[in-house]
Amino acid sequence: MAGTVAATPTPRVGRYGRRPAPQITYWISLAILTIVILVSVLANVIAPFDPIAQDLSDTFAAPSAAHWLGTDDLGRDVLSRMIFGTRVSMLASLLAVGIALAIGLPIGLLAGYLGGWVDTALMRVIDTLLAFPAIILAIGITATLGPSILNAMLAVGIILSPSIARLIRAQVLSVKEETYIEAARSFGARGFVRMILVHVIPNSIQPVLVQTSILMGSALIAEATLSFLGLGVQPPDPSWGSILSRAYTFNTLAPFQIIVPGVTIALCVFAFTTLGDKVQERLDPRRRR
Amino acid sequence: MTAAQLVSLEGVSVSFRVGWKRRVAAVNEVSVELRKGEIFGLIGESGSGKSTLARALVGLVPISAGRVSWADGRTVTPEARSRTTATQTRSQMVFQDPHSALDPRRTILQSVREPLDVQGGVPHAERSARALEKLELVGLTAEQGRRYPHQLSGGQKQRANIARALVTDPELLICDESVAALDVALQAEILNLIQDLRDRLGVTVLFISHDLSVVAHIATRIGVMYLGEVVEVGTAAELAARPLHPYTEALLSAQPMPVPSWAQPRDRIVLSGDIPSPISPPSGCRFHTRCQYAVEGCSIVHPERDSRDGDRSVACIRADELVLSGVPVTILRPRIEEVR
Amino acid sequence: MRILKVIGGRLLSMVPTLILATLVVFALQRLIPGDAANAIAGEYATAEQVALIRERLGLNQPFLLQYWNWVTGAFSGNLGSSLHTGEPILPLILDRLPTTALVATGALLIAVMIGVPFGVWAASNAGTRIDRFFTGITTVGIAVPNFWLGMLLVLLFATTLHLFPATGGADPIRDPLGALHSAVLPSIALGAVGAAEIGRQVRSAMIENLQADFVRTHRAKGLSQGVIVWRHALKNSSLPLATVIGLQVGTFLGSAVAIESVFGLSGIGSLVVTATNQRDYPVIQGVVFVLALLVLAATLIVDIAYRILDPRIR
Repeated sequence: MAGTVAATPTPRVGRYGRRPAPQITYWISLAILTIVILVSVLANVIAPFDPIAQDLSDTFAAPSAAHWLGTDDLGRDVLSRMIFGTRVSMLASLLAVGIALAIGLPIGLLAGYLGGWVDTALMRVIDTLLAFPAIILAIGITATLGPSILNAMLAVGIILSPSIARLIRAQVLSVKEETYIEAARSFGARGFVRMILVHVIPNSIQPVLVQTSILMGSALIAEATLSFLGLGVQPPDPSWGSILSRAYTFNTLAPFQIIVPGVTIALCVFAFTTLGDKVQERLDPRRRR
Repeated sequence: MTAAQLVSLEGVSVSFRVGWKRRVAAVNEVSVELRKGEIFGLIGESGSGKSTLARALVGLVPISAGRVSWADGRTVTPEARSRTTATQTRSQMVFQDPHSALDPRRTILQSVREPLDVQGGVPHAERSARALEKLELVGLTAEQGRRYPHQLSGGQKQRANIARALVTDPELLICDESVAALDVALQAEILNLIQDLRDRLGVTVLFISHDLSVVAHIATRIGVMYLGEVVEVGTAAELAARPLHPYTEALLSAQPMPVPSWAQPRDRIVLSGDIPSPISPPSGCRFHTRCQYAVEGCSIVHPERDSRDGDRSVACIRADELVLSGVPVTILRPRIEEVR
Repeated sequence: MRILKVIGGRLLSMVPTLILATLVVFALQRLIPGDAANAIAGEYATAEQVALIRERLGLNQPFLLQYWNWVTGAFSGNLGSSLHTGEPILPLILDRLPTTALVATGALLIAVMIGVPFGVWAASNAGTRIDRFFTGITTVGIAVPNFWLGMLLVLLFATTLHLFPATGGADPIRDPLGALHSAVLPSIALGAVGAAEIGRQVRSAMIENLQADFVRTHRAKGLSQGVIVWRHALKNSSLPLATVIGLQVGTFLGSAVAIESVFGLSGIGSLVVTATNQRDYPVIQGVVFVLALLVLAATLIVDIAYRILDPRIR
């Protein structure tokens, strides 16, 4: 499954001593994501047709004025399906990342803050999850629970949670050593609210936020893969992965239908990953002081 | 416990577990008292246990033997494991690193207020006012209180730390190497501030440092620590003029003197070897392995700290026989007129 | 001797992982409303028939007991039988494993052979336009869904150019050449994307190393950039590099499973998809177990390999 845990570092000084300027890919990514979000939100308004309305008299139509992207094997307008599919894929990815955070953050926090055997035990579990080929586990979980987009995203969320847990644990471990934590303890601060909410979390959360962007990319690909395998979004609901799957099934009849969904997925993941990379570059502590 | 005493430590030891079974006593049976309104300086090398003693006093680590008795009757014993609110409000600490002692995500005012927020006691509405009051006391403005730590200089941050330590009106202010991270000019400023605060608020100060000249600058009495034990106590002038313990003598001789070497009154004493590991300290007197005056009895008998005339005390079996050379006190306190 | 102890230790630590993984899958069955027995018996079965099936499948026993029986069986080579066809599962899996493994291995080889050199090259030119170009390309690389790339390859090379088979794969054991032939496109699809991923990780591992002090010392000694990069820095990076590659083994195996439906290969992937649709849980469990075992074994091999290569670890 794609998606690196840590975005690639960039050295501060290029070979000739110039600092790399903020790049055009950053702006492209931002633009792509804005469009995607707008499409997701405004799907009902901008889609010309009902995505699941069939018209068996007009299957596999080529792109035309009425159907910008043509129609699929059941006569459904591909453009409308892609538009609604955007919403589905985006929401699904958000769900998966949300679950990953909901699982990973508490585990990483507890492990880092409490240390000791709690840390060892929790990290064992995390490492076990990581040792697993992610796709296999996702397939396994989804297969067992039954194919549906919710189950699939639950599985993906579980798969993605270890990287969050590791990340925040590392942050918490270093924050724990800071003098202000000891100072707080010296005047009696001890409880969960004061120590963790007020001090630990605000100082640890930044890398996690960056990672979230990259994880959205991974979740998107995961959703596409699972839907492609029939384990995610179920027909007739559209999602990029399921549209792709269907298009491929009939690729002998309309081979070019596979291009649009694939390119869309790639662009979107590219945008998420680049955004995450760039933000991490900007926040590199070496640049801060 | 006399009327003038604030807190008295009797036979206090603090030990930690190392590995599975072994324990190391970072502080070994220390008995010392702090008097109200004084500035007590505690000096020693790193590893002497002074920071551990401080943390025990402020309640961050539990004591493993002995007792700590406060003037108002409360005592801390090894059994009283949890840090009571009593100790919390009673003593506060100013840490060494001014930069990391403040949460970078909170404003100065929020940080200075925090002890009040944590301990309750003071009604919500009053807390900011009190914090501002303390900020003013240390020489910071309300505007600076609205800033974040990275926007302040090192000296200002340390002032903020002091303000935070004072916000609960503690009786004892512990400064653990609080000026070590600052440059010399700033050190003088902060030291003067601390003296000023003592004069105005009547707070007792325990000032910990490895630097004798810094401590001599402001301390009423000085305690010398070596490997977890207090080996000598006296005023700066007394210590400088005539140290009673060989370790004190060595520390004094290590002070840089502003005269060329041919004019120096004595040779520098160089202690042999490194400070021994506290896990297995030397038998008898802990200093005997590095002491140039050691005799056979020193490795057998563990000297107790006995009083001498006045407020002085020393832990050495040969204290009465040895005549150790001191340094002129002006070496320690170059501008003695400026010390108030 | 030390090596044997290390191997033994690692083998031992594999066991809890295996157990945990399979326990998760096993436990998930419990979460499903309804019952496996119901699913098998079908809509028209009577209550008694369902109860009978349930009894026969041992579903009435306490959960842990069921799991214990399964796990002990699994470690001794018996993975149970398919609910759907009644065939024993282990032979079923083993029969299809070579196809998947072939694709996975091919992909891994391609990815490593492309990704590592490029990653190193990018790291040694860090910060320059070459490097930024490299980062851009690899970001695109990991953004492209590998199965989609497979589709495009099929369209181009199989359907249009007829160079490779579009669907169907030969059994590697009985028809090795045919199997290789049909493994080419899937391997490329997976390998290309994998190369991007490996390239990125190699680059980031190497950058840390190249900016280290020892590089400056070597340069001051007058060693050329090439020698520094390829011999010294690479050797120092061998630990993180091997870790990266080790981690990817599992990913490739997983991707190979997913990509099979694109190419119509009858490997483990199609087995799992079918089993899913038929609610054939024992098969799914068996697959998870075998794959986990394989991944862990591969990681173990990689681990041992670099302990041998890097004297520091010993």
